[in-house]
Amino acid sequence: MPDTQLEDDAPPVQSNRFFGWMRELDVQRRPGWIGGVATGLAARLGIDPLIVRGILVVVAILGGPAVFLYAAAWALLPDERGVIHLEELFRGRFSSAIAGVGALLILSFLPFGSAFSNGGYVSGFSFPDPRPLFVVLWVLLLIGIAVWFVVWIARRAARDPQAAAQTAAQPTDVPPPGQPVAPENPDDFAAWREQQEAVKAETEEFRLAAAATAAETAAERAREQRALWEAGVAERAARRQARRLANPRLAASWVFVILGAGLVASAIGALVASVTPSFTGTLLFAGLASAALVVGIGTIVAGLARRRSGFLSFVGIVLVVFLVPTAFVPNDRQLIGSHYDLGTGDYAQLVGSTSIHVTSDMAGVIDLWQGAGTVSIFMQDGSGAHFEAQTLSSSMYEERPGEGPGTYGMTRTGTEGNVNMYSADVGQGGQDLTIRLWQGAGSTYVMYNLDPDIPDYDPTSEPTDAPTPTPTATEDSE
Amino acid sequence: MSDETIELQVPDAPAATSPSPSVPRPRLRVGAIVWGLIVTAVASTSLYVAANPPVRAELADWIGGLTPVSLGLIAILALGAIVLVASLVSVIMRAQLRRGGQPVG
Repeated sequence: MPDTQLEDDAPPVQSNRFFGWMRELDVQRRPGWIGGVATGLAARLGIDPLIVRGILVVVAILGGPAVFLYAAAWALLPDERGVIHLEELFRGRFSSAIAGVGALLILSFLPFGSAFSNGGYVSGFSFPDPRPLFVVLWVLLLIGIAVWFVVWIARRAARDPQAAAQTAAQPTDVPPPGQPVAPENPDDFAAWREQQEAVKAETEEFRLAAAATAAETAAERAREQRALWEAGVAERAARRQARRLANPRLAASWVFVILGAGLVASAIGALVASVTPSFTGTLLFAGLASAALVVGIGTIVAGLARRRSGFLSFVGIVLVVFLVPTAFVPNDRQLIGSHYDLGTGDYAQLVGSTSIHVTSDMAGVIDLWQGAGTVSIFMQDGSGAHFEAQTLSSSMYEERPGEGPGTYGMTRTGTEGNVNMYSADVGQGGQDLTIRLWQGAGSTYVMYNLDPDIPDYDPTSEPTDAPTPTPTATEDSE
Repeated sequence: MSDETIELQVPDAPAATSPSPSVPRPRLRVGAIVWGLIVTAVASTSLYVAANPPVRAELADWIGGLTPVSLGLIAILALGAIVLVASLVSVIMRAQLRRGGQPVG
C-alpha cells in the first residue's frame, strides 16, 4: 500500500521547483479560444476575458511582445488539472498544444506592429527607403486579419453553446407540432381538453426538470472545479511547507549580520591598504577582497549549519566577479569611468570612452591606461602633442584636414611581444604635451578642428569644452 | 541502508508510531560550502597578492604577457571549472537526498 502511494505521489514531488513556482502563482489556463491564457488571467483578475484579449491584441498591434508572452504563458501556466505543457514536454510527453506554442513563437518573430513604430516612420533619410511599401503590405495584412477575426467571432458567437442553451430554454407558446385537431363532439372535446391539459403539464414538468438538471450540472461542475482548485492550492502549500521544513533558510538577521560584517571588513581593508606602504594603490582591490573573504566564510558557516543561504552565495560570487577584473587595472593611478575632456595626470579606465581636448597652451603628460574602449583626441588649431601608445589589439586613426580619415602618422613603429607600439607627433606647433596611452582593445582617433566657420583657436579667449566637429561633416573631406 | 530495509519489511510501523509526519534533519548544504570555499580562496589569494608588491609585479608582468589565445584558454578553463564544480555539487546533493530518503528533484 505505501509503495503505490509513493508511486502516485512521485511525479508531482519530482516536479521542478520553477514549475512549482509557476503553479503557486495560481493563474490557471481555462478553456478559452486558443490556449486559455486570457480566460485564466481574466478569472484570476476577476474581469471579463474579452478585456484581456483586447489588451493582448492592442499590445501586439502596437509592437509589444504580446504574442511571445502568450506563447510563453501557454507553455508555462498550468491548466485546471495542474498540467504544464513544457513540463510534460521535458518528461517526454508531447501534446498537440506544444505545436500551437511553437507556431505562436514563430509568429512572434514576425514584425508585428512595426508599421506603427519604426517601420511606419518615413524618415528624412537620403537613401531610398523600402519601408513605405512594407507599410502598405502590412496595413493590408492587418485589415485582412481584422476582417477574418470579426467573421470568426461572429460565427463563434452563433454556435456558442451557452447562447444556444439559452435560446433553447426560452418558453414558447407555439403548440408542439403533430397535436390532434380539436374534435367537434362536446364529450370528445372535454376528453380532448383534459388530454391536452395533461400533455401540457407533462411538457412543462419535463422542461422545468431539464432546466433544473442543466443548472444543477453547471453548479456541480463549478463546485468540482472549485474543489479541485482548492485541493491543488492546499497541496502546493503543504508541499512548500514540507520543503521549507526540510531545507530551512538562514534567518534574515544572520544574513544581515554577515553582510554588515562584509561591509565593515571592506572599509577596514581599504583603510589599511590606503595607509600601509606595501598595499599602495590596491585600495579597491583590498576592499573588495576583504568583503568577499567575510561573505565567503559566512557562506561556509551557513552551509555547515545546514541552512540555505543562496543570497550569500550570490553576493560572494558577484564580489569575486568584480574582484578579478580589478586585478588587471594598474594600481598606481587614478581610476576613472567614462571621461570627457581629460587633463594631465595618470589615469586608469577599465572600460569606456575618453576624450582629450588638446589646446596649444597644454603642457605635461596625460597617461591613460584603458582596458577596452575608445579614446578621442581633439586637436584645436595651432596645438600639437607627442603621442605614444601601446596596444594589444586596437585601431589607430587620424583625420587630417582636407584628406579625410586614415592611419597617416599613426602607423605602428614596432612590436614588443604581443604589444604594438605607436609613436607620432600630431598637430602643429610645439609638442609640449605628451599623450601616453595603453589600450587593451578598441580604437583611438586623433581629429582636428576643420570647420572653416569656427575661427582659429585664440589662446587669449576662454577654452571651450565643446568637441570640434569631425572632418567627415565638412565639405573638405569629400 | 539497513534502516530502509527494515522500514520496507514493516511498512505500517512508522505511520502507526508517529502520528505527525517527521521532519527529516536538514542536509548539509554542500553547494554553499563549496562556493563559499571558492569565494574565500579567491579573496584570500587577492589579499595576499595585494599585500606583496613583488607578487603584484609578477602578476602585472604575467597579465601584460597574455596573448588573445592564452586569454581564451583561461576563459575556457574558468568556464570548465565552474561547470565541473556546479555539477559535482549537484551529484553530491542527489546522493544526499537519496540517502536521506527525500525525493530527488
